This record gives sequence, C-alpha cells and structure tokens, in this order.
Amino acid sequence: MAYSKAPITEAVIELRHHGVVEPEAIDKVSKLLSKEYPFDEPQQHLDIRIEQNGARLETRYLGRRLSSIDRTDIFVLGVENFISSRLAPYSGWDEFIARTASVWDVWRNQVGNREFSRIGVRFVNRIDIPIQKDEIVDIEKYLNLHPSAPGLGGPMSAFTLQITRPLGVDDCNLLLTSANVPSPLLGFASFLLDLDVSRESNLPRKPEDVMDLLHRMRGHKNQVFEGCITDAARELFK
Amino acid sequence: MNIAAESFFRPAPVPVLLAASPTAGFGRTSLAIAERLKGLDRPTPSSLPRSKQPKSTEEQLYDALASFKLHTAAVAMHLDRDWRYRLFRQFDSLLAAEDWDVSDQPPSVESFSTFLRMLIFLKPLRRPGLGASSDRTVVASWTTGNDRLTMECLPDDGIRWHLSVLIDDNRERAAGLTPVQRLANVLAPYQPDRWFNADNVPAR
Repeated sequence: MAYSKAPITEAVIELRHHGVVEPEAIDKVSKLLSKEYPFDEPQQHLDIRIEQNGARLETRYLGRRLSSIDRTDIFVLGVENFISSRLAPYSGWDEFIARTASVWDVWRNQVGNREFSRIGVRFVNRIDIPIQKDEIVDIEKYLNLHPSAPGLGGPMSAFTLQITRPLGVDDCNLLLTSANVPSPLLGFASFLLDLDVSRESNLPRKPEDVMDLLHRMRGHKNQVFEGCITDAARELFK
Repeated sequence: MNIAAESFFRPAPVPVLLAASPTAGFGRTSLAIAERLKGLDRPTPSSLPRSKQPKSTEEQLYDALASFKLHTAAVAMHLDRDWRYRLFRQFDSLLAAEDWDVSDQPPSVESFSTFLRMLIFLKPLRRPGLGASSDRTVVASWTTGNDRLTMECLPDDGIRWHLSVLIDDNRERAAGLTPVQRLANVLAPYQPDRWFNADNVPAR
C-alpha cells in the first residue's frame, strides 16, 4: 500500500560481496558519479593501539560515501559492499530501485560482477503518534507486535524488541526491531519498526536475477510491515 | 496507579534510545545479554555518518548544512516537499561560505532542531526569513507591513521572541522566552496569523 506520509525514515539496499575492491576502482566510480552525487566523503576505520612503548594509530580504508545535493540519496562504495540508501522523504520503490540499479551499473562496470555473500533490504520506519502532555499510549492500538508486561502496575517508559527468524520464502531471513525512540517532533510519541530482510545463501550473480530478488525481498518486507501495523497506524500515514 | 492493559507506554522524561544498559553482570548469561544488546545496532548498515571535528570555517559550514539536511530528513514526512526544498535553498544561501564572516560559527544543530520542531508545531503557511546569531542560533523572522515577529531558536526547544505590532493605532512591543509548546498560546493575543497566513506568499 502506498502512503502519502510514508513513515520510512530510511530505505537501504546492501550488496555485500566476497573479496575486496581496490581503492583505485572506488575512486574512479566516485568521479564518474560526482555530478549527481557531489558530496564525497572517504570512509575510514581508525584503530588506536596502546602499547608499552607508546600508542599506534592504524587507518583502514573502507570506501567512499557519496550523497546527493539534498543529502537524501546516499551511496556507500565500500571495499566489501555496495550500499544504496534513501532518507525521508521516501519517494517510492520504483524511484529507489531505479536509482540503485543505475549506480550499481556504473559500479559493476568498474569493479566487475562480484560474487555476493549477503544481500539485504532494510526499511527503517518511525511511527509518530500525536499525544497530549503525559498521555499514555496503548501500543497495541498501533502495532500488532508489542511487548506485554502483565501485572507490573504502570505504563512502560521504554522498550526494545527484536526478532530474528527465517521468513520461509526465498531463503530469506528477517531481523525485526521495534522500540520506542525519542520523537524528533513536539507533542508526539514515536515507535520504531525496523525491518531487515536478508539472504546469505544461494545468492544470484546475474544482475537481472539480483534485481528480481530485491523486488521480491521488498515484497516480503511489505507483507511483514502490513502485518505489524493496525488500521489506526495506517490512518497516521494518509 | 492500576492499569489493567499491558501494552501501555508513556515516554520517559529522559528518552531512552533503543536498548538501555542493565546493571553490570559477569556471568556467562549476563555477558551473552550484553553482547545481544550491543548487536541491536548491527543489521544492514544505515548510511548515516558519524560525527567529525570541523577544521576550517568552510568545513564548519559544510558540516552544519549537512547535519541540518540530515535532521530535516528525519521529519521530512511531515513537511511539504516544495516547502522543504525552498527551506534548503534559504539555508544554502544563509550558510554560503563566500558571504560568511569567518569570525562567526554557524548555528548549532541543537538550535536548528528547535527551529524545525517549532515550524512543525506551529505549521506557519509562510516560510520565515532566516538569520543566524553570534550565539550560534537560528533566527526566524516574519514581517507583514510594519508588523514584525522575530524568534531566536535556542537549544532544548526554547524560543526567545520579540514582536512589534500596531493594535488600535498604538504600536505595541512585546518579548519573552517561551518553550515551543507554549508559543501558540503566548502569541495568540497578537493574532500571529498576520505573519503566518498571509495570502500573498506561497503556501507550504
């Protein structure tokens, strides 16, 4: 179902591959994409080792992070992965997957068609519920998945709930995290519904098969999402 | 308080992000729980960047603009697209390195956060004019004729405001320091629609 105020704060596709991509190839891809994604930040891992004879600083190159002018479209060209991310406002799967496919084409032309170790599609949703000061929210009204704490005498003030399970289709796994999060808005309570559908075995290699799998994973994610929310939540997204 | 239902939630005064750390434990089970809680932030990676220390004025402006845009993305579903686009253009212009006084620092992200929360809370139809103070705050102002409202957005949802309006041929001036949540009530006697709802300016 398409919502006019989709609660998606971030949509992510990650293609994690075997082997390591050379920094030169990554730099070349970032140059090719510099017009559309002008913000280009190197990604490094810093390691500080304290030893008897002093401290040692080691840096490890992880890749480059490219962003569009409004910072909502992001690509991480990593030594071990390719990540496409879209921050809110989410403008729909068709636009997101088309942009991902077009940048992945450029990536593949430079680094070759790699064998994957994991493919992930993750959607981070934040459900903003308008509340009055000191109002108590019944989570059950909005989420079909919620913690239950019988007989503890009062409303909970924070919760985190995580489920990992096979989805039972397409060899996919689901990592579902639900939690309260500080609302960025005044007069709202906010709940996270973070859905990560991934696959680590029998991964396709042909680009059209990868795209086909991504479409199906997104379909599975949608099914889980719709199953987790109630009509009261749907009303908030209209 | 006796509440029968079991899925009731009331936000804590100090919000907790994802998992709270329990009292330390040293047994195998306690360590396994601690590991699992650490693992809560290790799914398919999010692309949000980690903070870094700014070095030059240009880098500070660059970082400020980037963090403003990322902050806005978190609430973008509550903003009209065109309105958001035009707001970014205003900030691009405000924080342009070539026009910036190098002795000043850009507004803080905490002030920008208050500004954004104020806009979403008050829902003005007109975008404000924007400025920045030497105290690293965003300053928003609306002018209609000779009537003017200025709001300085402080960190932690505080607004320092002052206004000047003509009421019954008398020029009135008022000022105050008010939390965003109370702003609509405090401004009501001055009919703030004169600034927020003018017909001759594009609506959000």
